[in-house]
This record gives sequence, structure tokens and C-alpha cells, in this order.
Amino acid sequence: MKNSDFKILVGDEDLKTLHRIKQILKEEEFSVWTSNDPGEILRIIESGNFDLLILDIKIYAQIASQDLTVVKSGECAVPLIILTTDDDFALTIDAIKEGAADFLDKPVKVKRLLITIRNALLHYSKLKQLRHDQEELAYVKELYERIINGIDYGIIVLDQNLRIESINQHLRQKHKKNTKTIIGKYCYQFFYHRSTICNACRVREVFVEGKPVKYNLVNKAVGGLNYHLEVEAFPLRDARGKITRVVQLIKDVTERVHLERELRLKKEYLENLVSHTPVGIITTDREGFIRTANPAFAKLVSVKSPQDAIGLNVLQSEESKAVGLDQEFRKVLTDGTPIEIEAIHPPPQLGIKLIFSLTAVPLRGVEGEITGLIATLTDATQKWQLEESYRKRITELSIFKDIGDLLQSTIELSDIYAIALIGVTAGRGLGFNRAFLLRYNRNKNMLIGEMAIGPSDAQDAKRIWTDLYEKDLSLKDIFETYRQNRDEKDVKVKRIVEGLRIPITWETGFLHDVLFKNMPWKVDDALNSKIADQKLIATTIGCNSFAAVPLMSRGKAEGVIIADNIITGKEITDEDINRLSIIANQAGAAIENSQLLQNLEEKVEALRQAYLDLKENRDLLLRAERLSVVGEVAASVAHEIRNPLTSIGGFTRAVLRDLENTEKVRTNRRFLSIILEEVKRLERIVNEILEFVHPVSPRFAYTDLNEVVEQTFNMMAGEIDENRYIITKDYQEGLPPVWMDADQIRQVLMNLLRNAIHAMDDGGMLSVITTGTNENVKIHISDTGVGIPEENKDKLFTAFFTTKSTGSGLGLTVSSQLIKNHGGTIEVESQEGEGSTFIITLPLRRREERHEKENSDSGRREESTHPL
Amino acid sequence: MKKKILIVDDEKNLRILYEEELSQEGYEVDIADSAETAFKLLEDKKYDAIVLDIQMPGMNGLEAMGHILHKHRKQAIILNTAYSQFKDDFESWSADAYVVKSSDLSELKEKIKELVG
Repeated sequence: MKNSDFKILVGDEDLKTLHRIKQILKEEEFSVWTSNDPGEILRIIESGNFDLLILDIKIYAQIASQDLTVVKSGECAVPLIILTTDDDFALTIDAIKEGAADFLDKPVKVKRLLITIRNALLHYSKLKQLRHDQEELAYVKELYERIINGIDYGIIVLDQNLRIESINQHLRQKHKKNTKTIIGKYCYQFFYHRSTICNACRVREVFVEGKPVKYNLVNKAVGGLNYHLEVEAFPLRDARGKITRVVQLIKDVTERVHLERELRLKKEYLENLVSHTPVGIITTDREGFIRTANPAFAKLVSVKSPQDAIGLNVLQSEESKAVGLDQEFRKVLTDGTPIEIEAIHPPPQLGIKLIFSLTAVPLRGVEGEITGLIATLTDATQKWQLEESYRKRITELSIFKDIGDLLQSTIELSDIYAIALIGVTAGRGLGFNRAFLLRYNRNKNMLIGEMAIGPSDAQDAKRIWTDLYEKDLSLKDIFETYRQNRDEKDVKVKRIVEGLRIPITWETGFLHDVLFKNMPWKVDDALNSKIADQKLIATTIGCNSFAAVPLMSRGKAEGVIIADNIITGKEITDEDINRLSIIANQAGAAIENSQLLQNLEEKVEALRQAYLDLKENRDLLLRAERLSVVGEVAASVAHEIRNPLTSIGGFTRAVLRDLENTEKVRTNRRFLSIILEEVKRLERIVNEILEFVHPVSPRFAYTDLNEVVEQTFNMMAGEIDENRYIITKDYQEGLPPVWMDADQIRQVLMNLLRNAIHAMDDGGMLSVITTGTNENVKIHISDTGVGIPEENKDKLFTAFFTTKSTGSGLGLTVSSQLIKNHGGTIEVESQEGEGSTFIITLPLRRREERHEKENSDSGRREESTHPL
Repeated sequence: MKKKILIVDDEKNLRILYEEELSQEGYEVDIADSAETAFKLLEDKKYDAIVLDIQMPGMNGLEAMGHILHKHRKQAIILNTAYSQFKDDFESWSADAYVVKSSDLSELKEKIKELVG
């Protein structure tokens, strides 16, 4: 650096000194500013645009009092040289203390000035450098600290005894401890809660070997979850190269370890799955070459190992082409169309006896491009066989359902037998050639042939079967046809079955077991059988092998169905026997129904009889009721006749008492007429009672109703005062004759007319109207009397109800009974205060039954003892 | 002075009988054919005893007795009826006597004598 580059500011009140210093410095080619004005000096200092400050102590003192940090702090950017005199020494010492670099005594000596300037500049340039270095260091230190504290690695410095010298913030925070409590602790104690060094620790090794090491630690955490730590330890040497410390970098890799483990397990699981699944799995590349295959695949396609399958081409192999899979795979690889095939039946030449189901989907790369395919192959043999057997079972069930429906349509035993045998023999049924039905006769303990269906010979069979096949008849159609031609059909088998008579013995026969142990039986080579009845059947029906199943109804042996395949010679399978049993059971149930129905009919007949008995009892009961009414009559009569008797007796006594007194003749005559009147009344009461309890036997004849009404009026001529009552009669002309007992009807009419007159004490209108239809005739008897209160209407026809002071209360009861005996009705319509109308309805038609019943009833009544 | 008796009965012939017989016994006898007629007579006249039939058209004797006793608490009443079953009837207990009708009137006469002296 040249001197001219240094700018020096000189301040002194003494211009001479200023000038001198300026001279000296100029000669040395420094750039110099001089000023004797403290204000100006201050401004220049504040501008900071100089490298050295030379100030007289007095100026300094002035400026220093202004609190100028630039010159006071000692850390000022430029060195300060104080010009002083001996007098100001104390002030100068202060200035030096406050940071001035040096001082010069006045007057200033050239050499001294220059040396002092050079020293000051040198000193300050060194100071400046130092300060710069310090700042740099502080920055770097802070940076490292930040880095060390910021990273999520744990950093520990350990001494030779494994005591913690320092740790970074990450660890401090993690352990929630401040530095003081950590420093000086043993590493294993503080971090791992151990009393001795960790087994996996390799810090000692670093101290000895002086090389960095890397190792893993597992820290058992209190909660039971393990921390996995990755530790890097490297040595720290002191100035002499001795290893005094080891730094540990600790990374928590727990999460990573767990993820790795999970991934590994998943991979193992998938590998396990693929290699142990019964599903064959392969992947191919774009060209169709198999890249991977699992053991199941190898097993399914009969290659030795999965390795043998790898490299084969699914688009080219014989096996693919044989079942057309090459085309399907090509579609997957070119179009990406997934395929799913339920059942692949490999042709026999492949030597694979399984049935497969297959799926294939494309494999795609990152861009979605097809990179190959993945295919699964499953053994569907069992499933397919199961479905096949279901299909068969459904067909079978529909046969049984058809037979069941047919069986339900009848309760005739012969129809039931025929349907069962048709079910056994029809192509749509079990398809046996012939079927025979034998019934068990309990008394003879013998099976006796009942019915048979089947062709006579092969020719007949061919004709019949062709015919049936062409017509495609349902079981129902076959049954209908059979029923229509029952007599002309199956002549030969009918003859055979008529000859079948097989005694049942348990010692020598199998039929005993069939019948009584409910055991279906398949008989082969019967002609050579040692069992007697097998041989007997074989010879009779002319067939060496046959099936026999029991026909049971309500657990009782009804008979046996025997079926054979004499024409086709087809072997009878266990399956056939099972189905035969089912049809036999169905027939058994139908027989049971038929028998139940028969029982039911018997029960119905019994119920009907019970009903008739009950009805008769009811009639008896009604009669008993009537008798109890008679009892009531008896009780009431006593009271009813008391009034007249009282007056008869009373007056008779009076007459007797006064008989001697001739003056009383008039009175006595009056009393005697009263007695006579009362006796008449008693006679009437007695007659009415007798009428009720013991009516005269009716004499029915066809009679003109109008005539009967008119006769009644004639009979009552004395009773009806024509002056008090207006009488109107309206008879319908040409009424048909009515079947009636005229005497009884007259009595009824007389009773009603008498009631009408009594209801009109003050006179009124009495009207009688007759009308007729094809069904019946009606008589209306109306009065304009007092009428009947509503509450009395119901009681009107019951015995002894009366509102009259005289009268037995029997009139209407008897009338009602008589009209009922004629099969008619008697009704009343009445308005209180306006009058009443009684309407008698008599049927026109003679009821023979009724009439007879009437006679028998009265006959019975004759037998009963008279209640009075 | 003659004792006064009122006969209430719907049976005309019985009314004649009772009137005749009781007059002979020396009573002054009035007759009524129904409860309603009796009430009218009672408005103007006092009787020493009333002979009351039970079974009558319109208001029956028991009901009539209720009405009479309501107005004339001390009125002597004899129930005279063809029916013996009313004797146990709670209402008939209010009567001074209960006589079952008979051609022999001595019981009725005795009861009247007991009551009117």
C-alpha cells in the first residue's frame, strides 16, 4: 500500500502545529486533512472517510464529551493518536484508556511522528485482520452448531471412559433433558439404562484402532417397542494425534427396519401363497413365453416341475391349440381383453383327465403397455361333476313331481297303481322295460299279481317306443291313453301278472324282507338262485334279473313293485333302485290319501248321523220347554181363577145367607147373574188353557180363506156392536184354496178380532183385508185403538202376558202356535195411540214333510201325560 | 158415626161384593175401579181404611199405596190381592195388613175391624 492511499485527519487548535504536521506528512506523501475547528473535525470523523486520526488532546476532550464512540470505544475503525503536552498527561492517560492508539508530545518531532503513525497503522491493520478472523470463526461456529443441532441424527461426543462430553440438540430434545444433567453421565447408563457397556458397542474399538466403525444397536424401549439404531463412531484426536474422544452419529432406523421386515413378510407370504395355492398361476412375456409358473400349474398340466413349464409358449403349445386357448391368449396379449373360461375339457390325446376353469388378464408396464399376461388355472372337475349331478337330479325331481301331480289327481287305487307303473316304465320316467305290481293279501299271507305294464316282446317294444318317441307324450298323456285303452293293452304282461301268486315265508324268501323290513332288492341271476321266491318270479316273468321294492302305506305293507329290463338287458343300477323306491313311496302316500279319504267319508257319514240325533234331541228339548211353559200355566191358573172364584163364592154365600129374606130376591137375582157370568169366565179360561196345552187334533183341508173370515164375523155377531164400530172388509177375489184347519184359523181370527174390539173401548174402525200371491196369502186385521207400547211388542206372544184386567194372557200365544203349525207367521205393526195391525201369513203350498211331522208330533203328544 | 172404608179394585163384580158385604157390617163404603179414581176420592174425603187390590191396569196397588202414604202418612191400608207372592215384597210391608182374596170375606172383615175398631 502506498502512503498516498492513507488519508490522515489532523486536528489541533494550534495552526503552527497543524501546519508542521501537514508539512511532514506531505513530504511522506500521505493524503492529509487538517482542521482547527472541532465542529468540522467531528463532521469529518462522522463521515468516516480517513484511515488515521491525529487529534490534540484538547480537541479530543471536546469531541469525547460529545460521546463519540468512534474515538472512545477503543474499537474505533481508525487508529487515534493524541497530541499532548506534559500538562495534559492525565487527560492523555484517559484517552489511551478509552482506546487511543498512541500519543505524541508536542512539539512534534518528525521521526517520532512517522514511527508513531507507522506503528499505529500496523497495529490497526493487524487488529482489523484479527477481528475479521474472529467474525469468520463465529460464523462458521454458528453454522456448524446449526447443522449439528438441526439434523435428526443424534451426535454424542464421548471421552475414553464413555462419559458424555456433549450431545446435540436433537438428542437433548428427544430425552427432554438439559445439557447439564447429561454431561458427564456414562453413555450406556444415560441412554440405555444399563450398568455396563452395551454388548454391541464398538466405541472402545475406535479408541484402540483409531478407525471409524459402523454398527447397529437395538434399544429396548420401556413401552416394549424396539428402537433400531444405526451408529457411526469415529475418533477425535488431540493436537498430538492421540485419540481422546469418539464421536457417535446415531440414526433411528426403527421405521425403516419395520418397513423392511413387513415387506419381507409380504414377499414371503405372496411367494408362499403362489407356491402352495391349488390354483395354477403363470406369467408370460409379450411373445407368450412362460416366465414364471407355480407348482400347482405344473401339477395341473402334468409337467414335472415349474421350471419345466418356463420357456414354453402359450401361443404355440400343443395343449393351447388343442383347446383353442392360443387364440384366446393372443387376444389378451394384443387387445388386452381379459378372458374367463368356466370349463375347459382337454381332449383325451393330451392325457389330462381334469376339467379346468381359466382366467387371464394382461400385465402392463409403467406406460400401460402390455408386457405379458398372468393366467390362473383351476381344477373345476369336481365342481363340474357336481353341477352335472345337479342337472341330473333336477331332471329326476321333475319326473317325481310329474308323477306326484298325477297321483294327486286321483283317489282310485287302480289309477294310482297305473300311474306308478307308468312312471317306472316310461322313457320320461325311470325307463324300465316292464313293471309289475303285486298286492299283499294278509289273510293268505301271499303276494298276488294286480297290474302290469310293458311290451310283449322286442318287436312290440320297438313299435311302442318309436310311437311314444315320435308323439313325445308327457307322463300325463301316456296315463290318459293308458286309461282309455286299459283293457286291450299289454295283454302278455297282464297274463303274466295274473299268474303271479307268491307265498311269503321268511325262511325261504327275500320278499319277506322287502315287504316287512322295507328293503328294496336287486336280484341278479335269479334262475340259479337258491332263494325260492326269486326263482319263482324269474320263471314267471321270464327275466333273470329284476328289482323289487316295497309299496308301503302308513307303515303297512301294501305290496311290491317288480321291474325289469327284459328287452334292452340294461343293467339295473343302485340309482335305479333308489328312484324305484321313491316312486313306490309316492304311490304309497297316494294310497294312504285314498284310504284317508275313505275314512273321512265314513267320518262324515257318522257326523251326519250324529247331527240327525242332535236334531231329534233338539226337538225333544223344545217339547220339554213347552212342558215347562205348561208348568207355568198351572201356577198362573190358580191365581187367574182366584178373582172369579172369590166373587162366585162371595156372592153364593151372600145369596145363601139372604135366601130366607124375600125382600132380597132382587139382590139375590143380581148376585146369581154375577155368579153365572164369572162361571162363564172360568170356562173360557179353562178352554184357552186346554187349547194351549192340548190342542184338538188338526183337520187339514184346502179351504177358501175369505169364507173362513166371513164365518168368523158371523160367529161373533153378538160381540161386535155395529153401532160403535165401523167395520170394513176387503177380500181379494179368487184367492187359491189354502191347506188349513179351518177351526183353528177361525179361533185365531176370533181372538184377534176380540183383541181389536177391546183395544177400542170408545169405538173405532175395524178393518180386515185378505191378499194373496203365488206363494202365500195374508190377512190384515187393523184397529184404531190404543196401540201397543214399543216395550210390550216383544212380550206380546209369550204366555200370560196381558194388559187386560180380564183374560188369561194366552190368546195370542195360542194363536201364534196355531199359525206356526200351519207353517205361517203372525206379525204385528203398531203405533201407540193410533192402533195396531196383525198380519197373518199362510203358505199356499202344502208341505208334505211338515204335515207328516205335525202328525207324528201330535202322536207323541198323545202319549205324554196331561200336565194339568 | 159410621167408619168410612174405600175399596179399590178393577174387578167390577168384586167391587159389588165388597161394597155389599161391608155395608152390611155397618161401614160407609166407597168404591174406586182404579188407583187414579181412588186419588180423586181421597182429595175430598178421609177414610178410616183403604182396601187396595194390587194387580190393576194402570197404576198397581203397591205404587198407589206409595202415593197415598206419601200424602197421608197415617192412612190405614189393607192390601187385598189374588196373588200371595206380593206378601214377601218389600213394598207391601208398609201396608197395615195383607189379605189374600177369598170368597170367605171373614179374614178381610176381621182385619178391617182390627184397624178401625
